[in-house]
Amino acid sequence: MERARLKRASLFALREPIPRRVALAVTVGVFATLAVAWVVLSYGGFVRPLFLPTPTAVLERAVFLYREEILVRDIWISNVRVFSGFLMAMVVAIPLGMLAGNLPIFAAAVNPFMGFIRYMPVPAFIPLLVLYAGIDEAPKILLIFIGTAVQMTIMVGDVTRRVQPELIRAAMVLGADSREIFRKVIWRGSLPGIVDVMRINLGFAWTYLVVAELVAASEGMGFRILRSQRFLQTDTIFLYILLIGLLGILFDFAFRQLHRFAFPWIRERVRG
Amino acid sequence: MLEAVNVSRVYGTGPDAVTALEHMRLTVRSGEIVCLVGSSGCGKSTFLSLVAGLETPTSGRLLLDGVPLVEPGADRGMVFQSDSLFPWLSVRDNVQFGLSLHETRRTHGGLMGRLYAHCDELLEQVGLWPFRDAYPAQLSGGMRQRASIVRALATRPAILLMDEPFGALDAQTREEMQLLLLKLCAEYGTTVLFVTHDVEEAVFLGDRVVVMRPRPGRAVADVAVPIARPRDRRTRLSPEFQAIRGQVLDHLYESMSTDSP
Repeated sequence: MERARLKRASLFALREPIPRRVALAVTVGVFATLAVAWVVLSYGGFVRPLFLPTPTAVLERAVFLYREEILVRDIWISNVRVFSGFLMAMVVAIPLGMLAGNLPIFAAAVNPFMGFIRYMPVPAFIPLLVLYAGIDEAPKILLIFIGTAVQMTIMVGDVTRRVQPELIRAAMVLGADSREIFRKVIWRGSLPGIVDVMRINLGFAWTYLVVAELVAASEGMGFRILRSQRFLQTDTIFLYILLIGLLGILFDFAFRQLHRFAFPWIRERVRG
Repeated sequence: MLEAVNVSRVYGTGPDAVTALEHMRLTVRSGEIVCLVGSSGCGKSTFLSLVAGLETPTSGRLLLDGVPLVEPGADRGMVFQSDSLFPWLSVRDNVQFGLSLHETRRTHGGLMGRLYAHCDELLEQVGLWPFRDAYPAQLSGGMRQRASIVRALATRPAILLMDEPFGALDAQTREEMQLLLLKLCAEYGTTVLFVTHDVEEAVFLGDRVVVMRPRPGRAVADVAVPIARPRDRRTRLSPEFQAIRGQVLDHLYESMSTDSP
């Protein structure tokens, strides 16, 4: 009895690991609770379908949109937009962040400027982007680029700055020059952190999707959500929001697996 | 041979300037082990950084075999107190890091080939050969420091610089490491400049112990340790050892009492 009580209490011990099965049960429990609440509230007729469509309605909607060849197309085009903007941001932010994080002259150039842009509301750029880049894919991709590149640069800078100075000193003593230190120590040492930054920023990129597809879009997940609002198609809105959430879980999982296989040196612990 | 002539290092300028090291004079002959002891702020680590080329002296001259030292180079190997192995490289890749930087020179008369072979030989000698493919996180603290020593010796430096390398290890491991270091030095005739705050360690390892005092940091005594080698665990128990240890401690406490403001 006493043991059982102690055991239960230990599930709430600060920073103590809990059994895998318990963790899994809690995670599944949260999703299950939400699902049950949805089922009860919608089928039970507690909430009007306009506000909360039934799971059946959402599924039917999914089948319908799939048959109309809208669903896959929407998912595809939104992914293209998000990843185009995101990859552009990566190309700019990773080198810039590394330089700003490690060379004071770049820090002086980049950091205050990024601070200046960082608080600007991204949607406010839409009129300018339309003016400069037209109404095709360009402004949508640029919007996602602007939304993520700034945060990404700052975060990459932070991560690369956190490579221990002892490692840099050790490399210097072993005869490495600045370029070699950048490549062989700072880059290699901060790569796991950079992958984490990418994981977090991909989430940001998706949150800008709806905003990006405000711009003269005729397809895409964000566009579909906005249009469904006009026609009061709550079931479509639910469907797409859930799908974006699922995509998020998928990408997060992919990044975590990448982390796991690409950086075995973090996980490996003392043998025996 | 390492020669330091009136080496000073001042941080900052004007009224805020701090003299970390003042008029340091020191000669370390080839094959000699010299230990620097002193309380924190005495400039012993600063001096080591200067020799390593990580910092530049404000004034004075530093020569290694007659050549002025201005930047880090393969002629000096360094072992740090903290873990400075690259966590993403295996033990063997860590050890060969310095060599890998000069990959292109490999063609020159097989010298690089010999150095690579030397790395493996050293790993074998310190008992790390079975762990050559392990990552640092998989090793114990003592093993990691052994790997650091091998890495520092890999380029066959003229002098090995050690900055409290065993300070973070438990007492038993530390003793083991000291014996290992002496063994390696005996075998390769390595010249060592060893910084520590542990007087016993300094006397046990050194041919000479240089006592330093803070504010401003400088050397106040140079104590010879004429204890025969090879030294072992029993060396510490000899009256001779204790006498020299007492002598160094006297210098240390003397410097501390005159130091109080």
